[in-house]
Amino acid sequence: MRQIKAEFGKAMENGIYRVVGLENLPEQWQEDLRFLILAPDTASCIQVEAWRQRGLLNIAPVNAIGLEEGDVVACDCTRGKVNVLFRENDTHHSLFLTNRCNSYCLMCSQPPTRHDDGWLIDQAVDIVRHARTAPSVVGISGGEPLLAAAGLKRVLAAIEHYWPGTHVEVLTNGRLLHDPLVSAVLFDRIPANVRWLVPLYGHADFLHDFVVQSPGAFDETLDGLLALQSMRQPIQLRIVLIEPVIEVLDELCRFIGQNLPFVHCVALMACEPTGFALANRDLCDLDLIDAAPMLERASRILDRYLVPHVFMNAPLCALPTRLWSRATRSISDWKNIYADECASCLVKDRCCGLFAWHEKNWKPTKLKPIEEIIA
Amino acid sequence: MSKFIRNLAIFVAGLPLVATKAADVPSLQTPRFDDLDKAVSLRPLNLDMDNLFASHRSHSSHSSHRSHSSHSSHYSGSGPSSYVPSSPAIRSSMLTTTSPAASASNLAAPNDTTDAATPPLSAGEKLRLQVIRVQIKLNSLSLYNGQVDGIFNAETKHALKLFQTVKGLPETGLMNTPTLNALGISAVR
Repeated sequence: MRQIKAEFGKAMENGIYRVVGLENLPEQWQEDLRFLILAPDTASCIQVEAWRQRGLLNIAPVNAIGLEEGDVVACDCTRGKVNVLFRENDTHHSLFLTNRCNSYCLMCSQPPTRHDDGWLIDQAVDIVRHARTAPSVVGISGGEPLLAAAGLKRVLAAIEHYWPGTHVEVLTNGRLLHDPLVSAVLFDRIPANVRWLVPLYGHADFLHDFVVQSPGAFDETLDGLLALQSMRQPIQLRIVLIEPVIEVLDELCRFIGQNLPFVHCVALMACEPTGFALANRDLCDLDLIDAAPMLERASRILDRYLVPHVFMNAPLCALPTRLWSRATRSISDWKNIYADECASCLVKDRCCGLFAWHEKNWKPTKLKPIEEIIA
Repeated sequence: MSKFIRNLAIFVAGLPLVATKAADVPSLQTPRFDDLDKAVSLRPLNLDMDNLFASHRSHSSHSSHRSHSSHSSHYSGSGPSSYVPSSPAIRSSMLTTTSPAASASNLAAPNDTTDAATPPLSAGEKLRLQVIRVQIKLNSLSLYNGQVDGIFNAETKHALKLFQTVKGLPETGLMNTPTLNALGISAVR
């Protein structure tokens, strides 16, 4: 998430605010929201203070470079900064529900923590309330959102209320859905417009359980997938391309085609070089070009079973040309960059680019600008 | 080659036929002069039907205003929970399942009783919101120096009249649709 240095007025409350220009406050003001008013000069600070003295207590001035009108931000006044949690013109929007997890994946980009972080649920609901416009798609991630199943329901209900028509994608390992009580609670009223993104890393229990470092996870995830299917929920399977997964990729794809033909899509994703992936570099750091034959084979197998599939986080120069049409621009705006080499590339605007932390760590392949397109 | 030329000749010969047929159908693209005087103007910010409080004069007639202090907090538990059955039966059975205790404790999260959805505003609350927005705007124009409290008092009315004078609108002191449009405030609906 973006962090921006900011100067606030006097002591103000930490929390979620909507950023608004001075001239647009009369149009947008609402009692149950909080507004951070862009006040780059003294005149506007005085105006904000005048409003406050006349009884508008849910507004505060801010002076910061890089804030945009309509941003939903969390203010941290003691440290003099704001975190931009929602920006209207981003391509990807996400709500973060918990940092706890019941798996411990080898390449986890967001290592889990143990403490109770239920406040994140309230924050997510607040973000939804404060947004000026509804995004077309919003992702819900963690941690494992099902660990906060009740909170997840609340957030889904808030989205349905404030953002009707927005598609929701819940990133979950699905393990807790194997518990009929959890799925009963979650599905007592089936949420509309929700898609479930579930990772699967092997076609046999010991393979998957090794990658997610949790015994029993494979069986629970499969149960979860079947539970989702029995509720007619759309599912996207996610396969992160690390060494132990690529070794069994053929078999895994065949397993999906034969046993999980109902999934709407399979996403094959390059590993994000951060978090636990750094600790398990020997398993996670690989050149995608070396894996190209395996990727092509996997794509052929999935095609044979008529399973739609896409590639994510993989720059085009790391994929064989035949798979380009399946590549998506999947990296969230705030962590997406391009390298110097990319300047001369002809297909840069179609390419997903790189994770911002590739420089410190590793690249998915040796970058090679595409300077000629062979049709 | 000669076959191609013959085909082409037949095709060209057929063309006038097609052309005359097309001419019979009145073209939709050609402008008709009698439409010109019906020019479409920009839609104003508010149409008259949008403005619920166009003729609102005083505050005292709305008894519902008094209730607004209870509206200040979003999480005021404004409705019964529709989310999680927190009945003891489910909770105890959750604890006896083999799944990790984490899932059980989170199904019974303490916050699950709050309703994520705010109830729709009542007419009184809508009026108050619209008055507040007008007061905010009038204050930023240095026409109104009173409290921004959503009460349509004499000072607000006076400020509206001043604004209407400046804008050359009839001095009614009302939040009528032309005045709201000039203020740039959409009517609360």
